Parts: sequence; structure tokens; C-alpha cells
Amino acid sequence: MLIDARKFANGQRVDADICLIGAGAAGIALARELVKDRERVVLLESGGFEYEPEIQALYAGETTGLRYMPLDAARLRYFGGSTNHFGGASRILDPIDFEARDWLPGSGWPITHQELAPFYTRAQDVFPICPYGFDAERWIHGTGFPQIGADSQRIATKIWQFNPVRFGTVYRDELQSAANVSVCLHATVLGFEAERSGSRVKTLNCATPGGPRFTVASKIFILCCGGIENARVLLIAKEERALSFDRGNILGRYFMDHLVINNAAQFEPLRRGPTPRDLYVPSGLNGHWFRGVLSVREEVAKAEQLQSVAFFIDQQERPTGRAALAEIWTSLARGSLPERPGDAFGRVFGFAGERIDQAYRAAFHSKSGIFNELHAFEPSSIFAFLEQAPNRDSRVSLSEARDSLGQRRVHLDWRLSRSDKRSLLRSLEIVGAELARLGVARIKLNLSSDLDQWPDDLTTYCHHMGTTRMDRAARHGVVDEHCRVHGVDNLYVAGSSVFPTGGSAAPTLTIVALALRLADHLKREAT
Amino acid sequence: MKRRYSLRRRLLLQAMLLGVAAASSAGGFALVTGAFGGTRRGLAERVARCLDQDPQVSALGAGYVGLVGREASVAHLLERIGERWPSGVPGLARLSARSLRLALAGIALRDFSRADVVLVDGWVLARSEARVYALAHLVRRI
Repeated sequence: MLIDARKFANGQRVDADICLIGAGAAGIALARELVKDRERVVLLESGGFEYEPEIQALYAGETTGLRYMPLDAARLRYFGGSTNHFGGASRILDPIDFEARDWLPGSGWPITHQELAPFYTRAQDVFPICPYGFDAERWIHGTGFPQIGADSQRIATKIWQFNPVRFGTVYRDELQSAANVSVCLHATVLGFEAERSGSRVKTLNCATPGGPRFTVASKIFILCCGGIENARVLLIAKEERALSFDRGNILGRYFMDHLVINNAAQFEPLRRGPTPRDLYVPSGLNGHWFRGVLSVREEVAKAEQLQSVAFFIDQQERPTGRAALAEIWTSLARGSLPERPGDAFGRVFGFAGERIDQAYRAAFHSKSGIFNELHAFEPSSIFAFLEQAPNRDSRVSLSEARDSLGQRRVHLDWRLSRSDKRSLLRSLEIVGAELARLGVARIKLNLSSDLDQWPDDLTTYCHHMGTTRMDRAARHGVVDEHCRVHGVDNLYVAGSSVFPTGGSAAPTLTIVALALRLADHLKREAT
Repeated sequence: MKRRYSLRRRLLLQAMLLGVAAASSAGGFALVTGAFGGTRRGLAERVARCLDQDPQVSALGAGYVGLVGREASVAHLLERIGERWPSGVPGLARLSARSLRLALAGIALRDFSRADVVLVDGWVLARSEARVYALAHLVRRI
């Protein structure tokens, strides 16, 4: 069922068994899991089905510390949430990402990779990816693509997949037609009414700009508003003192993002580099896009006390079409064939050359094609995708400014640690040493060795994590291992704000896996 | 112009690694030793001659010396390079020119496999590779 809160009467009350606050990846994944149950589910969304500037403006906030993208540009506030602009990158966290690493204070999830593994599998139904998953061996054997350093003891290849699933578009009809789910648009949460003990939420106060104020009564409330907004909603609730939680005073702290360093190093090939068929260039397989990245092996990362980092080999396009033809003509005019004729002629056909090659190999069951040497791209640089260390001073708090609903805006003070830079530099050294040993490339870093200095073009992919971190102990975490807010019996948090650490993997698949795990927990609790 | 500069440097660094590949295919460290005797001073000059007369060698060598000031002597650098060869400096001194070049590349290769590297002007260099560049720089300066 679809309802629009703008049509509510002032003071109207909505009743539900489970109230999901936020219709992004986590909220929609949870709602889908609860579709077949008897519980009445209400899925609140602050926006509508399309972008609305007035609603989006509720996301505006202040930033200090390291330069950060404007907060109203870093996320989207309408049905589907930030999946409406995400690039579809997906990868699971590695086992080491869940472990407590003694050199990384604040690391260690209260759950293991093994516990989350079945939910990762189920998450792939919500967020469809190639059945090869993330096992590099399967991709290498399945595609025949060459791997850098197959026998290396120091570096490994990991697979990323890409599928920009717009959750709001894909699952809108399914949720609207579900008998037990009410999708409530234009419903912005303002605060909680709690029982006198402060350990249970009774109702949720909601509103929409210029519209009515209303309440939602429910047995269970789940915040699914994103890594910054989850903290903001709870910080406002904490300020109102209705609920008793956050004994460790860590709510909003430990804000993390993945650090993206473009052109972190120059890649000087020592021999012919990856071709369009190779693992390290974005490639398609039966409609699934994937790409290999280089990383430091877990055992080396442990020995060297490094955070997780993924290195993407950027490729420069070589001349194709007429430009490639001109190259051949120049060679012929000098009385010689091009150095690698297959490559040169293949590039004349551009990407079609690759297709012709595939068709030729399939038709004649041949291992080699016509343009075997086709080499439309040349590795040029490395960009890094780095795990940020949990940092207590990197935090989300409330600003003095207020939004159009009178709520205090958010303030982000983004700070990094020296271990972030050290991990980046040392990981590049290790990968650079291994690429040189293997005779693949020499690496020249474009980074200062100063551990406090970051390049001007340091950026992120807006993966907001850590502000309501998960820990078994209330003094170290805002939520417990079941994502329940410590001290509040019927309030849960879903999304990347519960991540204690972020690894070097895009977070959406983990967000969905955790949402499915939470849905199972709620079902168990209900029986 | 900048690109050309970069490519020249790449070729210089590549030359050293091509030596590694050749050494590996020829049986790694089991190299033929020549009848060359000679002093440490002579060895230092022969090590320098293993590298092209490229200003980038000097630049990288000077960079390493600037980075690790305590290693700024020919004798010290020779000792540090020699201690990574099974028969030490005397063993290196007995190698023919070609074998010496392969030996140095092999030492660098082993440094790379241990990730014993140093950043000079941003380049990830094997520790011994950087010392060879530094040695060449000092020898040519003297």
C-alpha cells in the first residue's frame, strides 16, 4: 500500500508492528524480507518517488576538518535513497576485516565473516551480481583472463562487481503491492516518545515540510537513514533525554569513509600491459560488469600492520579507428609492418576488434583470435581505495543551524589518522616491489611521505560508516551484535553506520546482508 | 618533454630488471665467475660501469645519498651491497662484467621479494638497487 503523509490530518496516528525509517538499501531490503510475514510494516521515506529540492535540503549541513563533499550532495533523500546515484560497486568484506587487529584500535566486529557469509549469499538476490561471486580463482578459470602475480606471496587479486541497482525503481511495485507493507512517503522523523524508563520507544513523531505533524506507533523501530542521518536522528533523541542510551558517549564518533586517491602512483609498464580481455580493466561477462584490483595479502598486512587497501590500475586508451590506421600507414610508409600487427590492426576496429576476436574464437573453437595482440588500453596510473582507521575525533555532531522542520542540522568533522597514510604508502611499496619483481611495471608514487599530508584531490565515494558502531559492550558501541541500540529494547539501526571498520570494499552488499540478518533476528524474536 | 624524461628513466630501470630475467633463466645465482681480481675501488668502478651514463642514475643515486646520509661513502655502499651476495664483496669482485651485472640485478630481485624497498624521488627502488645507483653517483663524482 502507498500512502502520502502530506494528505494526513494534523495529529494523525499510524499503527504498525515494525516501523522502518528510511527507504534506502537497508530499509528496502528489510521491508522485502518482511513482506511475507503477518506483521504490519510501515516504511517511512522522507522524500517522494522523485528528487525534491525542498526535501533534499534537509540533508544540508556543515563540515570541518578535511575537505568533504557538501552533505546535501553526498547522499539522496527520496525513495531508494543513495542507491539512486550509486555506481553499483559491490564486494564483500574479507575475513580479516571482521577481526580485531591489535595494531588498529577500534577494529573487530562482534560477528565473524563466517556468520555473515550466508547473508552475503542471500544479499545477492536483492543486489544481483554474477554467480561467480568474488572468488578470484573462479573468474580467472572461468574467463581465462591472465592474472598479475598468480604465485605471489605478497599481493593478491580481488574481484569487484558493478551493478547499479536502483532499489527504489526495482522494488517499488513489489513493496506497494505487498498486503502487509505500507510505504509512507514524505514522512520525516523528528523524534521519539519513550516509555518512562527510557528503555523503550512508544511512538515516533513525524512531519513533512509545510505539511501535517503525525505519529507512528509500533512495537519495533528500525533506523535505516544512512551513515550520517542515523547518528543525527539519535543525537537529537539523546538531546531530548527521552531515551536512555549511548553510555559510552560514542554516538556520532568514529565517522569513517573510504579514501579514494586518484593517481596515487604512476604505473610504468616493463612489458605489454593488460589488454581489454584482462582482469584489471572493467569488463563485461554475460551482462555482469567486473574488475580485478590488486591488494596486499592478508598475512602480509598482518605482519606489516596495515589497513586494507585496493589498488585499481587505471588505463589510458590507445589510438583506435582512424588514428590507429594512421599509425599503421606511418609504419608502412617507413617500409615496415607495425611492431605488433595484430594489435595495430585490431585497434583500427576499436572495441569491435575484441568482439570479432571473440566471435572468431567461438566459431572456430580456437584459443587464438585474429587480433590476439589487441591492446586498446595501456596502464597509466594506480588509484587507491583505502580503509580509514576508526578515529574517535572524526565525528558527526549537531550544528546550531536548523532545517525547515526546526531540527538541528548535522555537523561533520572529518579527520584521518597517521596510520591511514602509513598503510597507503607501505602498501604501495609492497605492490610496487612485487610488480617490479614480476617484471610487470615500475611504480612511482605521487604522494608525499608526510603522514599528515594528503593530496588536494583526496576524495571519497560517500560511504558513511561507523557513527553508531556495533559492539557487544555498551561502553564501546551504540548498537549490539544484533544491531539493537544498547539500552533501548525496541530500537534497531540498519546500514553502514553500524560498521566498526570498513575494509576496502564498497559497503552496499554488506549493508544488505546485515539487513537480512536483522530481519531473521526479528522473526526469531517474534516467535 | 616531460614524457620523454619519464620514458628514459623507465628504460634505465627496465634495463636492470631485464638483467634479472636473464639471470633467472640462466640459473639464478649460480653464475660463472671470471678471473677478475681487483681492489674494492676497482669493483666500485665496475659496478658503476654496469649502469648507463644516464643523468637519471646520478639523480636517483644522489637522491638515495640525500635520504640516507650515513651511507654516503663508496666503501660503505660496497659493503652493504656485498653483504647481500653469498660470497660477499670478494665474490662480487671475482665476477665478469656480465655476471656482475646479473648478480646486482639478482640482489635487487631478492630485495623486491622481501619488499625491502626505498622511495627515491617517488620511485619504489629495491634497497640494493638504490645503493648501486648511489655508488655509481659517488664514483662518477670522484
